[in-house]
Amino acid sequence: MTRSVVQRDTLRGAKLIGAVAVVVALVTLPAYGDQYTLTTFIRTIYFGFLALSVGFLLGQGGMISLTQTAFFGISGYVVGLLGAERGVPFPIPELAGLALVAVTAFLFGLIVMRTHGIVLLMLTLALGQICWSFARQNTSVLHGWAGIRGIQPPSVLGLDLTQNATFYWMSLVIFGLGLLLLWRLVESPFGLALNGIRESPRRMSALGYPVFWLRVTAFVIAALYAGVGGILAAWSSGIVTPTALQLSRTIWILLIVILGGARYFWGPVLGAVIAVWLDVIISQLTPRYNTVIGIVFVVVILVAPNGILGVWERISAKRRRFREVAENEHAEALSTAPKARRRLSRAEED
Amino acid sequence: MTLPDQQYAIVTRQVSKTFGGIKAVQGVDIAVAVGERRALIGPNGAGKSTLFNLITGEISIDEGQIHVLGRDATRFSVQRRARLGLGRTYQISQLFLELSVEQSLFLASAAGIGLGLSLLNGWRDRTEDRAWTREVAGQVGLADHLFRRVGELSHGLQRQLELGMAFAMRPRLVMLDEPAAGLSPAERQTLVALIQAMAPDITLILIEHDMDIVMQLAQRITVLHRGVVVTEGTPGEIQKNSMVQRIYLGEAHV
Repeated sequence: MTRSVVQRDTLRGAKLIGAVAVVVALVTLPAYGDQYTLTTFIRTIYFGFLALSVGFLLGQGGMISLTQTAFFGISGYVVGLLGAERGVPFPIPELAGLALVAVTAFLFGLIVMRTHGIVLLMLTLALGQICWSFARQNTSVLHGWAGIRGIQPPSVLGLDLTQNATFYWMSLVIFGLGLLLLWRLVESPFGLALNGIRESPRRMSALGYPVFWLRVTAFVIAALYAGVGGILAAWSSGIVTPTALQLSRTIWILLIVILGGARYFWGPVLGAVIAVWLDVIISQLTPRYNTVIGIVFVVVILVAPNGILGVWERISAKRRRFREVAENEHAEALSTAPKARRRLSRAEED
Repeated sequence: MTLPDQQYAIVTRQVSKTFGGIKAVQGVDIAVAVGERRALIGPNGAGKSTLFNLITGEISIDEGQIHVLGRDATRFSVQRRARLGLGRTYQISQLFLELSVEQSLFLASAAGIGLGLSLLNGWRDRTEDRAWTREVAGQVGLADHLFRRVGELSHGLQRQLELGMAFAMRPRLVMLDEPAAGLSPAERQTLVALIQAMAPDITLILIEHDMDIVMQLAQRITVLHRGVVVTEGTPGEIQKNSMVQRIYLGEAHV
């Protein structure tokens, strides 16, 4: 007993030390990382938001949505149209972008959230494609393929966000807040209800839950995460084009979420980190990034249908079971025959 | 409209449902008093499950009226009927396989109270609700399995959880759809004891093929055959009824 408590505390301590080390490494990154590394981390963060959006719906609510990149694009376009082109001061374009994302998600949610599984997949695909086609073909306002250029991050509280390091820190803080909020959401009764809907919407209805409205709410929340990612992306890259909304990106995000482990809170984040950095590493070796990530994906799904964190859980569960068995034997031995006690003491000497 | 609805948990009037030309339920009138233990029996295809799902709202009604716990619920959604105090179990389990027993019971109990919007308090922090889930778990013999994943439970324990989720809702009316399906004789006795221990003011409607269980649990029995109520009576009356015997032997042509 006492031994296992000690072990558990050691494990918790190790995890805490690991977490602190990661946070310190991330915060101090501008001190030792070059500009390219910083930019890559910024990209990880805004794609991380998009991954959280997809992962929240898929992992917590069991909903596969192919519309999330549209929300990523919508907020970016609004920031570009109002901020860069019409000079509307911060934070109006950003808030307007998020508001439009919320309204669009609500309307889309009304259309699709009564459906499940493959029907939901096809409907969200269609809605995403409508948004993409609109962005692509509207030349009068959105400038078609050319998109909107010259977007700049604002100056807030005297911070010069055009500085890469400052922008990185700001992104990191926003991402931290986003994670904190999402974690509370997942742990809340609302989050648990989403899990229930994932497992059995029929049962949730029979228990008296307004399943449809809970799903619509989740859809709007997820869209806002994609929207925040879209704003950071527009600020960081300075441009927004139909590429932000296109299907290949939608699928890429879905894949990285599954790669990391959609069921797990950190799954989408891990997926985003791996996918973005794999991009960097592979691009130095070969132009065939998509081929490589495709192969990685196939292998991971074959070996671990629950993603990388699924493998981790399987290993630690096995270890836990070992420990429990050992503990039980230990306890049994202490409480029963002296012969067993002797056997145990021998075992401990070994 | 003169029936004193308050005394009845369920009143159906001329309820009918047709599936593609087949009259699954035809002009069914039943009235189940508050606190009554009622069984619906009949051979396969008699319309028991259809009637059951018409009452819970999972199937939409073609004709007739359904009053649930004193309210005309004919047009109410499944959710709304549940919130009136109607709890049900499923014949083929609709359990949250990836969640724990505790989470399942919590969700069942929280449906009535409301989820609450606080992000500061996770569901784990709702100690009162969790105390209630522990109490229900004890009631249905799952106290030692609170933190296990539902998918890992044996079939017998899953049936007990079905029952527990219905109880956790603090229902006024519980509808059990073949609660003992697939259970061993010993598990059946456990389940019967759990249902018998239910508070006497909770109304029970039960579909069950096992006549021993029906006789142990029901105060009154409604016999359905080809979508029509054939007869209704106490277990003793039904056992003696020659028409019921013929239906079960497959000779009746009503």
